[in-house]
Amino acid sequence: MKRLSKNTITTIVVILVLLIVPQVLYSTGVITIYVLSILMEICFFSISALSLNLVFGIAGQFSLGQAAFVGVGAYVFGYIINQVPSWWMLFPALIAGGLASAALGYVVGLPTLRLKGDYLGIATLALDQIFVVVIQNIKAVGGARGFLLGIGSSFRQWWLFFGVAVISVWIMRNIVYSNWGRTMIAVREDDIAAEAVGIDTTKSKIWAFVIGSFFAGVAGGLSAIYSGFLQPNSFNFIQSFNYMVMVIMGGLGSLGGSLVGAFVYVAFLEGFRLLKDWAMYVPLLGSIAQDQYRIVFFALILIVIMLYAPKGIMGGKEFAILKGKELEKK
Amino acid sequence: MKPVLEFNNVIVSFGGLKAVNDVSFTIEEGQIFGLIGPNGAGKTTVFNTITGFYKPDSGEIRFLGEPIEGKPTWWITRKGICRTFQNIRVFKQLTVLDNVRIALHEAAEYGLLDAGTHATKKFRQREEEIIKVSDELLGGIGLLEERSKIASQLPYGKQRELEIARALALKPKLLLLDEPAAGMNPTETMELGRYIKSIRDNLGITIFVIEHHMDLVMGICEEVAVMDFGVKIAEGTPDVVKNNPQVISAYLGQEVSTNA
Amino acid sequence: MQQVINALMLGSMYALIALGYTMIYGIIRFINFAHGDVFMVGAYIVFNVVTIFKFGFWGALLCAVLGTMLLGVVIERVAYKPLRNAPKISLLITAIGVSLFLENFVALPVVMGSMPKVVPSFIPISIYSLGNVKFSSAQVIILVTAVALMIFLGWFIRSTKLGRAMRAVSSDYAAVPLMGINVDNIISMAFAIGSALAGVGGLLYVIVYPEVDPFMGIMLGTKAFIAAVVGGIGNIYGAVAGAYLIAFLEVAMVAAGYSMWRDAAAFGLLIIVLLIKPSGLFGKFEKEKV
Repeated sequence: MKRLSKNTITTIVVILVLLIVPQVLYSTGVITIYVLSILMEICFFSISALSLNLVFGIAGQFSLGQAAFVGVGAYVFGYIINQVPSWWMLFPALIAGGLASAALGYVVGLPTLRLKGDYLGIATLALDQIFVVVIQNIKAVGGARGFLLGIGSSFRQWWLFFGVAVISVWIMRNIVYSNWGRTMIAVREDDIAAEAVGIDTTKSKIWAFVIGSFFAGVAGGLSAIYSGFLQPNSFNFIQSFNYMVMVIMGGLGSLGGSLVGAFVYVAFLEGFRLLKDWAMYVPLLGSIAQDQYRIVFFALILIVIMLYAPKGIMGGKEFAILKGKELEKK
Repeated sequence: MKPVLEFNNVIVSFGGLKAVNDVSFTIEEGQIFGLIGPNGAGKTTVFNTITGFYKPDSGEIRFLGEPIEGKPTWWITRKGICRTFQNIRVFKQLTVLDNVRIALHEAAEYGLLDAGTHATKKFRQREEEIIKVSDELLGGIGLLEERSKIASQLPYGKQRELEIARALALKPKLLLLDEPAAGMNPTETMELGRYIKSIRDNLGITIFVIEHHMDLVMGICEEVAVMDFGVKIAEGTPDVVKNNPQVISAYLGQEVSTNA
Repeated sequence: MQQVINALMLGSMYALIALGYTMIYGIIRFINFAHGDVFMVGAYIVFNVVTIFKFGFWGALLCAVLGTMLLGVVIERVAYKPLRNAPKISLLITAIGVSLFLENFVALPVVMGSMPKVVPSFIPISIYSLGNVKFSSAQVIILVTAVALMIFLGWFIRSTKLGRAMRAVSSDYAAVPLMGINVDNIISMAFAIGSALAGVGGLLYVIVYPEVDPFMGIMLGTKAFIAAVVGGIGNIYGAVAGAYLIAFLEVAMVAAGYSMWRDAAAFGLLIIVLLIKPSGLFGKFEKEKV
């Protein structure tokens, strides 16, 4: 048996701690279900932010269509699980959501990935709105009224959200540090040079789009379990902006950055509600915790982060546990 | 000697301007073929057309007998024509090693499952192989010590060498070098000339070079073509071309025998 | 025919906002996603001055123009200018931050609250009929104001020194400081004019649809933005043409009984135009150099 490297051991310990501690804290009543749900939210936002980072930060394709890909995953998952609401269907349905989203990524990517920069962003933004309108007109998934999942809260388990997030992050990280990731990075850095070393840049971009969409779809499935009720409008372009905010706030191209971005985003927008509990001790906290105040405050923080750290919180750096192997000379 | 590249009656125009006007030449296997001419003569356009960045209006380009005009760049590259760029297009923000590893993408040959898990034997073997080949190439060109540096931190001359190493990683049959000696001093240029010769002699790669440094062209090329205003005005051995009156007048005001 | 008037109204509104997007994009290649919210603030300014001070058309116009102009310049100086040399995406995220801030600041209970508010009528309305087509004085005011502003802007860009300087910045950003033009001032001026147009858009909007809410700028702003892109972003004539095109398309969809699909049609048109001619109907295509 090969000895595990220090890095691998650290990774395993961190993952186990994160898997067990929140569950124990919740079971013993130290944290409320509300705190635990915030953590779940961080999990699926991490996946969708990271998958967008794969498309934009790694492959360099400016996509504002992320919300639609998350939406496809959520709706396909919801539809399947409503047909067969049982545990054994859970993972097949999550993966089906991811595959449906990946298929859409392929169909959309084929014509649009010829566009560059802002134009690609605008075309994919339009995709979000078209997705919303299409769903609004599909009666089988509730149309504009919304779509109720008949699974209650039985699937809302911390281990499920955390486990799927860890696996997704692990796979995406592995892809980035492989030949697949390297060709995507080459396309981002200089597509002309990439073509000149024999990389089919169109194919590489489409693969990035397809892989990114797959994980966006999986994240969508989780979000469907989380909320239990889907509304077409929660997948409009504003939501794509939110994913973009997470990626850029964390640091474009940094895998850890997307996780930090998702954490900061959820912590500010949802975590601030928790301040209400302390409002009786600290004046003003109660009002800050109210809806609009929270968002105003978040907007200010976001502007300040961008002004003082335009490259995001991670600034192009990477967490050690997400880095590639040190390469020895042969 | 069989022809490696046949460039027959090619016309490339931008708007009304014919950047390449009915140009023909043939490069034989194992040759070092030079293309010279004043600035704006259309030399780089010839390269861009061979490598598929531009589509010719008419004419044909054959590589080892197969027509390649109008094909995508990556396809032509995989067929065995690799190039460097006049304004150096290494991946500037990536490491020296990654620059070469990217070029070895075809050698990876593993699927998404291997890439996504990093756990298969195939993945580990191929990745190790890629690093080994990269290091050999970098060693061959004297960049092994710099392998973890970011490419843009290398001095200009080393970036050019890296670009050549990256092209060699693709195991080309025909190597196109666009002004490889630009910005180099005479000593470096001489060294480069020796290196280009050794690529041909040791690896058997046919070489097509655009150059401004006449010393280099005259020193290494067996055959030289001269372009001016999109038209080929002369072709022959360096000695013949050097004494062609049309060539001398095209270079009027520039000294034919020294650095341009 | 009634539908044509509706489309002209909607198109005029889109056009005024689209002009702001396109002017700013033309100069600094940046999609100002907060622009729709400047329009919203303009509408709220009108709401306040007509309810509190009982201002009429001209008073409301003056306040909306000055208010949004100031807002636009302040946003540019505080949030965008420091990022001029940063990655463009950081600028975009900042714009999203500004947009979130404006919407939710206005929605704060101590400011205006998040509920929609009805704007009282502040101009005398009379109905005219021409044959069997009816139209109101409000509609005439809107069309005349919008068209007058577009003509004025066209003249301004073409014939004034400042307008020419703007075009210079737009065609070659780097060379302009060499020509002794102060780029900062030009950019601020573009924001001032663009925002003022959005302010006028806000005024005209509440004349036809007398209601304001803090999030009204999102959809209208987005539509105006796609109009600018369809017309060829960076081109002011394209923006106007795109605005009326989108408006006619939407009104036609509604008239044909497909109101549920109206947004999809507008965005679908956008995608089709982008795929066929990425630089828009009237845009110039910039070819990349190898």
